[in-house]
Parts: sequence; C-alpha cells; structure tokens
Amino acid sequence: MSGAVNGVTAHRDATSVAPDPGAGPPVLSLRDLVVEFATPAGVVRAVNGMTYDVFGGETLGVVGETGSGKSVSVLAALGLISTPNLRRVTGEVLLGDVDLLTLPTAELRRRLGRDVAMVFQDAISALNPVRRVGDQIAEALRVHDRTLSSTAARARVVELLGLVGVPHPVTRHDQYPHQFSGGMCQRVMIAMAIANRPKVLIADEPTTALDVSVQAQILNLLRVARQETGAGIVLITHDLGVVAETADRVGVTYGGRIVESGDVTRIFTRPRHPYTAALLGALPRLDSASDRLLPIPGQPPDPSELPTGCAFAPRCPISRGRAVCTEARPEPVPDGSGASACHFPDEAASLLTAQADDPPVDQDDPGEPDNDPAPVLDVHDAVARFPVRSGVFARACAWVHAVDGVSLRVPAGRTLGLVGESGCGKTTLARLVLRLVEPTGGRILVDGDDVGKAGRSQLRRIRRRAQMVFQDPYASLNPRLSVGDNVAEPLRLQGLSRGQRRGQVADLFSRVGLRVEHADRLPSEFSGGQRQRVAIARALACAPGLLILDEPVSALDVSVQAQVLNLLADLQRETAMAYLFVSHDLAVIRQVADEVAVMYLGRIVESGSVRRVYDDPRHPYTRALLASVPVPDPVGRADRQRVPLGGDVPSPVNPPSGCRFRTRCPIATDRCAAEEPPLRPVAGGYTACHFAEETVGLAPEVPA
Amino acid sequence: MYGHLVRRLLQFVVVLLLGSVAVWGFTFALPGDPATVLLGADASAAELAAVRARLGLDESIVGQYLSWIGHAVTGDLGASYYSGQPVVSDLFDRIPATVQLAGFAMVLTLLIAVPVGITVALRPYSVVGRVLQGYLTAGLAVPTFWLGLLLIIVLAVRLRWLPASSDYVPLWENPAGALSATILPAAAIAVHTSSVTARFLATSLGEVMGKDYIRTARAKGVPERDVIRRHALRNASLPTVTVVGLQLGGFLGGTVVIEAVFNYPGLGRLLYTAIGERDYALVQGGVLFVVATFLLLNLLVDVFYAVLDPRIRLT
Amino acid sequence: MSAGSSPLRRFTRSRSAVVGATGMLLLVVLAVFAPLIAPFDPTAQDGDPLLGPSGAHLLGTDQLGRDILSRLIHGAQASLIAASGAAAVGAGIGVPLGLLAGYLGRWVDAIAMRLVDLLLALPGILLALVMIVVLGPGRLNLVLAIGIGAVPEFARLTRVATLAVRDRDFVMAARGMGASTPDTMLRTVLPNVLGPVVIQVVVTASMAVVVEAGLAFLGLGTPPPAPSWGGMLQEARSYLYQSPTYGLFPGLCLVLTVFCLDRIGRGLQLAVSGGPHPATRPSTGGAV
Repeated sequence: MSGAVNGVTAHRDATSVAPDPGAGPPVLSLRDLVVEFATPAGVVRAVNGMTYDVFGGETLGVVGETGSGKSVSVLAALGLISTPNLRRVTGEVLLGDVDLLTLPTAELRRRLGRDVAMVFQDAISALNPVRRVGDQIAEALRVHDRTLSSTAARARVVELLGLVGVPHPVTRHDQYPHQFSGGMCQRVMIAMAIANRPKVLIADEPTTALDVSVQAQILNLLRVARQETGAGIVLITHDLGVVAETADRVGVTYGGRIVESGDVTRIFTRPRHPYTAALLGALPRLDSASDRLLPIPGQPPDPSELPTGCAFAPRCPISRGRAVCTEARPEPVPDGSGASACHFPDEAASLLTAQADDPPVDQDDPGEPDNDPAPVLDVHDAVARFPVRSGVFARACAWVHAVDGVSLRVPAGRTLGLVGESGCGKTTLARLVLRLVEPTGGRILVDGDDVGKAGRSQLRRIRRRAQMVFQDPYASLNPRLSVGDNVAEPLRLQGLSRGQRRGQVADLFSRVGLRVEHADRLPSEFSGGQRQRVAIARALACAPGLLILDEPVSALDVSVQAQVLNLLADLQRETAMAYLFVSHDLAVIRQVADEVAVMYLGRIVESGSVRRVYDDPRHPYTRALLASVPVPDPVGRADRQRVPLGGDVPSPVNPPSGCRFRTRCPIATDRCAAEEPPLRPVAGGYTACHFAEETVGLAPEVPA
Repeated sequence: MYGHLVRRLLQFVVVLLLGSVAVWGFTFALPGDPATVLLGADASAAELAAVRARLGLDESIVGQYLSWIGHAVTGDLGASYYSGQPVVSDLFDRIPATVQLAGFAMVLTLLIAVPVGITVALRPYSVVGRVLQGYLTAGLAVPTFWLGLLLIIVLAVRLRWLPASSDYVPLWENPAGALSATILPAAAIAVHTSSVTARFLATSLGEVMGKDYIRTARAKGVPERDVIRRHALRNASLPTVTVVGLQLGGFLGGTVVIEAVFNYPGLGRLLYTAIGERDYALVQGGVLFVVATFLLLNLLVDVFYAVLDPRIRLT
Repeated sequence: MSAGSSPLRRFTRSRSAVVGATGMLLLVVLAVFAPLIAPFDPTAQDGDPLLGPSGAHLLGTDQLGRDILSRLIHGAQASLIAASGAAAVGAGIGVPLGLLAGYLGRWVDAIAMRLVDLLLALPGILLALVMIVVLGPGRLNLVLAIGIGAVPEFARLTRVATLAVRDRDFVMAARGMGASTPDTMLRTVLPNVLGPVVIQVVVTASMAVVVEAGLAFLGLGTPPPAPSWGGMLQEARSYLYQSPTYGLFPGLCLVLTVFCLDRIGRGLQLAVSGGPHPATRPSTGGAV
C-alpha cells in the first residue's frame, strides 16, 4: 500500500500550507483516518483517508452529503462508535501531541469533554430523559474535576445556562429534557460542551433538525461559544449555506475523504474540484431562481465498493472516461490557500465560471392568476382543529388551531409554494385537501368538487384527481410491496386487471426515469432519490390534475434533490398539473414556485408572486425568515447583519391574541395584541400586518 | 401524573368489575342450574334451596349479580362445599404460604437476573457472557415442574439433603425451616423466571447502550462504569419493571403445577383441588382473589414506573 | 447496503435458528409417522414394568410395562397439536382484535384492551384449568383453553405494531389513493405488522407445549391412554425411587422442543428486525 503512504505525505504538505488564523500548531488533526465496518454485504469503508487540521479560534466547516464519512470520521476518532461490527479504525488523531487512537479507553475519556467536546445533531435524544438537565451539565464538570462541590457545580451550571441563552436558568436547571424544545435542548448541549472550555468543539449537524429561525440562533451561539472559549470548531453539516455563513475554512467530503479544502471564499467562488462545483450548481438559491438546476447525475458511491480511482469519476462532468480518473486515486494537491484532490483542477475551476455565464433566468411573471376562471384547487377559509385531550376522561380541554382560516387557489400548470416553520400547519393543510384530516370548517374545492361534503365514492374520485407525494420516501412506500406493486396500487384500487396494470407501470417508470426491470424489487433496495421517483410515479398513476407535494425533497441530498426538482418541473410542463408544494426550505420554494404563501401558526401571513414575497417582503415574519436562511455565498457575509427571531414558535394550542406573530415581532405595538390584522392587498401581493406599508424602510437589520 | 394515575385507577376498577362479572357468570357457563353446579349433583334439596335463596335466583340477573358482588365486597364469598368453611377463611389459610413462596422466588429471580442480564448485555462475547447465555437458553427451555422433579430426584431422593415435599413453615416462626422447605420450589420457579427477566433486561440494556444519550455521556468523558450505572441502567430498568410485576402477579395464582410437584399448601394447590372437587364457590372466590391481586400489582407497577420516568410523572 | 440480506437469508445465516428449525422438522416427522417409527405399540403392556434402559426397550418401560420410547414418540403428537392449535387460536383471535383496536382506536380500542387486561390477569395455567372445567375435557377443548390464554399477547402485540404503522406515510398514502378502511387494514397495515406476530407464534407454541404438559401432569391434559409427555411425568412421579430414569426422558423431550422453538424465535427476530429485537413480553404462562 505504498499509494496510501504517499497519500499521507502528500496531504501533510497540503494541509501545512493552509493558513492558520489562530497561528500555532493545530489543536486537532486527523491524519489518513480509515474506518471500516463489517456488514453482511462485505466490508464497508465509511471513511477512506480523511485528513484535516483545526486551529484554535477558527471554524472549519466539513461539508458533504449523506454517507460521505463526515460524521463517522469524528465519532471514530473520539472512540464513540460502539457497534460490534466496527472493523478497524486506523490513521492518527492528534490532539496536541497525543494520538487519541492509541489511548486506552479510560485515558481517552479523561480528554473527552475536557479538551474535545461534541455537540450532536438530535439534541432531544442526545440528553438522558430520566435525569435533570442541570445535573447532566454538572456531570460534565464534575467528571473532570472531582473536587468540585455540588453547590459550586450548580452555580456554574446556572451561569452556563444563562450564557447559552436559556431563560430562567435556575428553574430550568431542575427540569427534564422533555420539558425543553429542540432549540433549547441544543443550547443545553452547547452549555455542556463548553463547560470545561475545550480546545476543540465538534458540532455534528447541530442545526439540522431545527427551524431556520432557531438555526440562526444556534449558529450565533456557536460563534459566541468560540469567542468565549477560544476553541477551534469543527462544524459538520450537509448545508452549504450554513458553511458559507459560519466557516473560516472548508473541507468538502466525498467517498469518505476530503476532496477539496480551502478558504471559505475560495471554495464557494473558485472551486477547484468538479464535485464542489457540481454541488454549488445543484443548489437552489434564495437570491435568484435559475431556470433549471444542474443536478449531479447518478448516485453517491457505495462505500462497500469504492472505486479504485477517483470516487467521483463515474459522475464527473470533466472526467469523460479518462483512464487516469478511473485508475489512480487523486491525492490532494496544495494550491494557494487550499488543496484539491482532482487530476485536473484547472478544468474543474472553469466549471463554475461556465455556469455563472448562464444568466440566471427569473421565472416568468405568473401574470394575473385571477384570470383563470376555475382553479384546480380552491381553498376557502379552511379550518382544522384537533382536541387536546387530558384529564381522567380524556375530554377535549383545549384545541390545537392547526389550520385557522386559510384561503388559497392553485390554477392548472402552476405551482403554489407553501412555506413555514414546523408546527405552522402547512402539512395539515396539505392533508386537508385530500381529507386525510377532517376539516373543522371552510370549503375545499378540487376541480369544483367540495372535498368536505363529498360522500364516500365521490371522495374516492376526488382522491384520484389529487395525489400526494410525502416527505420521507423511506416511509411513504409500503415496505412489503415491490416498487412496481406500490406504483400499481392506485390502479388496483380502480379495478384494473393485473395485465393492464403492468403495462401502465412500465410507462410510469420510464416517465420518472426508473428502469422497468427493477419493478420487482422491494423499496428497501433503493436509495432515497430513487424511492422518491417511485412515489412520484405512484402519484402520477391516476393522471391527477393536482399534486400535493409535502416536503418532497427535504430528505434528499442536494445533488439528488436537484434531480427530483427538475423531474417535477418537466412533468408539470408535460401535463399542466397544478402543484401545491409544501416546504420549510425557502430556497427550494423560490426555485419551484410561481406563487408563494407564508404560514405562521395556522394562518397565511403573506402571499403573492415569488418576486413579490422574496424581493419585497412586507410582513416582519417573512422578512425575518428570509434573513435567517443561511446563504451559500460567503462573500458578503460580513455585511449581512442577521438578527434572528428570538424564541420558539408559540404553541398552537393557545395562539396569541390579535396578530399571532406579535410575541416575536420586532415592531409589534399594542394594536397588534388587540386587533388581528387581515390579509390585505399590499404592493401587488397580500400581507397580514397592520404596518405592512412601513416595513419597507426597515432593513433586515431591524433592532432586536 | 395524577391524571395518568387516576386514569389507570379507573381502568383498574373497570377491569376488576369485568372480572367479577366473568367470575360470577362462570357458574352460568357450566351446564345445569347454578345452585346444582355450586353444590354438586348430590346436594340435598334443602341445601339447594338455601343456595338458591342466597344467590337470589328468583331475582333479575342484574339483581343477582349486585347481591353477589355486594356480599363479595364485604368479604362474604360464600362457603366451601367440602370444608363448609367460609371461602374467605379457606383462602386466607393458604395466602401466607403462597406469598412466602412468591417472595422467595422473586428474591431469587432478581438475585440471578440482574447480574446475569447486565453481563450478557455488556459482554456478550466474553467467556462468562457465553456461559450465561447458555444458562438463559437452558433456563427458558426447562419446564419448571420438571426441574422441580429433577431437584427432588437428586437432592431429596438421592442425596436426602432436603425434604421431597414442602410444608408451609412461616418465616417468622422458623426462618431456617422456612428456607429449607421453600428453597426447592422457589429455585425451580426462579430458574425459569430469572432467565426471562435477564433476557429482557439484557435486551433493553443493549438497546439503551445504543442510544444517543449514552454517546453524549461518553463524549462528556464519563468513565464507562458510570455511563452504565448512572445513564444506562435506570433507563433499561423501566421496561423490566413491568415484566417483574407481571411475574409476581403470576406467582400468586400460576404456580399450580409446582405446588402439586412439591405438595406445597399454596393457593394454586387449593384452587386445583377445588376444581377437581367441583367446589365452585371456592373456585369463584379464589379466581376473583387472584385477578384482583394481579390487577392491583399492575397498578402498583404503573405507579412505580411513573416515579422512575419523569416523562410520565411530569405530564 | 442491505442488498442480499432478505429475511430468509438472515434467518438461515443464524446457525442456531437452523438447528432449531431442523429439530422441529424432525419432531414433526416423528409425530406424523409415529406408528411407523415407534418400535412398539404405545399402549401395549407387553414388557415387565419399570425396566431401566435396555436393548429391547431402549429407554425402558413404565409401570404398566409399556415401551417408554414408543410412548415418547407418540406423545409428541399431543405436544405438537397443543402447540400449533394454541398458536392458531391465539393468533386467530388476537391479531384481528389487535388490528381493529389499533387501527380504529377510540371505543373499539378501549373495549378490546380492557378485555385483554382481564384475560392477562389470570395466569395462563389457571385460565386453562378454569376453561377446561367450563368446556369439559378433550383435545379440542384443551387447545382452545391454552389458545385463549395466548390471545391477549397477540392482541397487545398487534395493536402496538398497528399503532406504530397507522400514522406512517404509506398508510396515509393508501388512504389518499382512495383505499377503503378494510382494504387499508388488510393490504397495507396487516402485512407490516406480521413480523412480531410470527415471532409470537413461535413463543406461543413453546408456551403451549409447557402448559399442555403441566395440565397433563395435573391429570387434565390429553386424556389417557393416549400418551403425552406431561402425563408420563405425572406417572413417573410416583416411581421416583424405583425408576429415576423414567422421569428423565419425557422432561428431556420437553426441554428439546422448547429449546428448538426458542432458537427459531431468536432466528426470526434477527430475520425480521435485522438485529436483536426487544424481547416480546415474556409470557408468565411458562412459570407453571
């Protein structure tokens, strides 16, 4: 394995060139880390020569798609993988002068939490449900300082809780994790991580499960934590926007190793690896919608059979089957402020420039939707309330106002984007359309038929004309039916014979870009993107006039997400279907939608054309949301002053009086509490704010 | 928490009422007139008339049930046909013996199950772990009553160490005698139940060890021993508590066969004899007692569970 | 990554599961072809009583001079009938009950679960005893009596699995396609809750073998003169001093049967979940 040895030296050189903002030696170095698992399918090499350095006081963004080894590498480095099928961990993990991989467990533990601390993705499940939050933080202190008294620990924990922005820290100290929101749990995790002022803070997808407004708070907090402790931060994420906003340097992972590293500006403006360039091309942008995304063809590499050459070669736009790409694994070549593991970095560099030459085409102006006489979907004042049962007899003692008086219409061939944070009622609204949730009030018309009043057989007919695609393609397909049978289900319910079904399934498969030969396989044999294609094929089976897309790409990686978004755009062009596209992702909505509606706590607070809502937002909530989204463009980030929304979304059980947003609104007045603002025409769109005319002057940097 | 517990209490009452209806209705499911069924075919006319009057068979069905349950609540479950004694006093003669056997068996079960379960979960591939897994497999496969027979063959018949049949010796009167009289049936029971409990504990501990919060504790630098003691065990014990509660409930009426093997004068043996003698009043009373105790134990387990789990306690 | 690991593959990859399955297969063959395989008529009293193992009677004879080996082979029938019958009764009633309770919820759930609570409150062996008193003796009643005791566990298990599946997107999708409630329950929900049910079938079978033997030991099992392992143990109990080996062999048969079923159950757990599964709530019926 002389190649691997060469790799080490080559990459050492590469990283030593990297600028070290904190100066001095790196606080943590991964050197040629390899992690393998034994599985029934063979040996899986999840990490394949990961090498990077982190310096004190800097933030290193490690960005990559699912399965690229970015998380596994740090977990293995810190000895936190306990699955019995872990086969080997080799390489070096240098914390100062010590190689963590050579330490016995007890020695390693003495350094964990003291010198290196971690913040995990799903903070709620990362906290022990049966122990008090404060005790869990105190444990981090006392395990490294046995002399610390419990009163001193308590005082320090309360101080830490205050530092990370947990309100009422004294009370909160004695509560349990289930009494905290997701964002608050993540604050607790951060308090725990910085308790001992570690040299390195590793944050593994710290904001992935959180809403954008909360995400912005947590990213700010990480910045504060870095200032407080002077730690080097490794920020592991799949989100290019998060990296662009927060990182000083970036490492891009693919196939278990870093394929490109360098200064954040350089990575985003002059990438020298084709994967980095392709990733940027596949990303929907918040600032401008391109005519069409540039997806990366194919699927990420299978870690159980990594190619001998460049792992990206099969999907690479510049490899063009050149022998060197498929035969020799490219080692990172230092180059100015970074390194690219590509045989042809110069060609890669020209990729993004070529794309940039494509002028970003804004969507056609949707024109006047009112001209359309009969929209496919027409929702009038829809209401859905769920009882909150409690007490001995489980009587409804309160109501969740999930959807509370929403009206919208979607004409044929158009896409309405419905956007909002979790708990705003957007998914309930999507389900109301098919009456998968019983409406409490209002009227929903699909092709003029009232869904709420439909009898059993009429409802079945309506459900054929309106089909739904769900968020999680792993959950939306029946795992016990083959993908072919899954697609054929709606046809079976229509009473088609087996033979008729087979013919149609073949046709549907080819329309969504799946191979008919695979129809007999079970869903578990497919990747997320392919499953979503199956789900789309199933939705198309009845030739519906309306597709309800509930977060259809949220579970997918950027490169695959672009494939699915393009597929949906093509299908709409062919069939003039109407789309109701529900998403929390503002950039995706901008990419796909003609019209946008922003939901907050069960109500639409702003709606209008994409241009109107994104370029001239009038509701303070829309403005705050747009300001919270991390933009994958590090260039102007110093000038972008973001003031994230404070707090969490209030409970929809007892929504605030008057304007529901007033509790978090920077410009709320007494009037907002007393009087609910109607959704009224403002500047070519609709805004539900008393002060919609005055928000224009307020730049994103509204005082908090 | 109070809402939860009050709801469980209500469910307890509902199921207990259902159970009393079933137990009471049981005599109607038998062929023949309930009075004949209760007293047997060779009962005298006077006895039949007396029972009919007591059961109020001329009343409406609901009235009959209400008067029966009314008596039952005040502790009057009728009289045993054979002994002529009140059913309640027959039951209370046997309950201490059963409670003592159940107590011994449960202590043994926990003494074996907890260390075995933890070892199997944490060191499944070590030599000790493998041996203990063998014990679990064997303990699950060996029927309790056959194990009892084997113990008698070896320890009583061959070695003559212990008596082959176990009388009830109250613990507070003669601890050593109580131990030697109860140890064999208790051990026979505990081999099986400890295997069940240990496997259950091992499974839930194994699951808990894979949870995110265990990884968090390790990442904080907590030594592995404390990770297990302070973070894993309490969470893993939650589902195990339920199993242990069920087992304890099972001991109170479910050790019929083992009591037969050892001629142990417990509740199960009483009920078995009563069934053989068609002493239905005694069967009714005994089954009602077993059901009520089981349900009550389950209720206690729920309370205990709520104490252990703040997610239940605080909602 | 999970390519090539179908449930069947995972099952056969577990060595102990294959051992268990082979053992059970052997037992079924023995039971079905007992008259052809057994060296003697199990009811013929043609030997000296209470002989130890010898060339003529490999495992010896009982108190009436009947061949123990032949009686064991024939006795397998009683155990297997109890096992398969009780599992069928338990699953046949419990699975629909749990499916309805879990999917429809509300009052259906409330009623079904209180019934289950009630059945659960009576230890299996006691329930079976009472049932036999009500129903009268006989093979069918025996199966029914043991099977009823298995209903609550099937119902509980199916209900929990149904609850877990009910709100999954693919069930929502089926409804969204216009599938009726019965169609959704049978075609979409049921196949996805069968995993734990299959495991419970095996657990119930082994529970039934033990309970049947226990009832026979008490004299309430398979009616004589047909041999059953539990009945043989009861008879052997009176002759512990004269012939200790008599009591050994029927017990060993029970142990091996339960062992094989347990191995199959573990193998199924691996096959269904791809890893060790939270043990199904252990039946207290085993503690006879």
